[in-house]
Amino acid sequence: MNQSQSNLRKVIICALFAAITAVLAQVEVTAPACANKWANIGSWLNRDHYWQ
Amino acid sequence: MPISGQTLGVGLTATIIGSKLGAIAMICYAALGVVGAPVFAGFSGGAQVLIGPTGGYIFGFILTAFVTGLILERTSFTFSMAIVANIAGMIITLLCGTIQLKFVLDLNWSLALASGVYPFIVVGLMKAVLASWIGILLRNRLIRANILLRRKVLEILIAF
Repeated sequence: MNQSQSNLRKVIICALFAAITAVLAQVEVTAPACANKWANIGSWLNRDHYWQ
Repeated sequence: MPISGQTLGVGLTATIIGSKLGAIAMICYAALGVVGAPVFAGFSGGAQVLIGPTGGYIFGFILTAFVTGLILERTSFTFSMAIVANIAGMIITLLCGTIQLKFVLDLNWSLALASGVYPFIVVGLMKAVLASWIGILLRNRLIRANILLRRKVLEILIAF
């Protein structure tokens, strides 16, 4: 494989994976309940705001 | 709370094609978004997304892909190492995202962490395992099919 073919392969690979990421970015799911519990832990850690 | 598949894409990219090409792919992804292509979550695009509250996550993807790929290249492309590398990548993404979130929205650190890190930890770990499993599986298949070159050969080819 010569240099230009190698470069072309790299460009195609990068473009392909950028496109895959773009497609996956449009897939949205709702976080499960356990993740919301972690969010609540965040709120709990932030509780000092209520005291101020 | 909606969770997008962006970070899964970053993890897959780094696990399959490694550090340099992975980082370049993420630069391409960010550049496509900057010029207005609707490639970011929710079919959004434009430079305002990058300088907005969630832009740090997108900047973080570039560093994440590089570090995740580098860990795998320095160790081995196995499922267990891929999980370690993808969890390290997840931490980098969340930190980059939270730093920009804090400064753009002028939040204090505890609120920034509560908004930008804690809600994404559990799902992030799930995505890290998924990216590792699918990534290693696909990488091995692509190498067997001669579509992707083996690590040592690829390193020689992409040596700048």
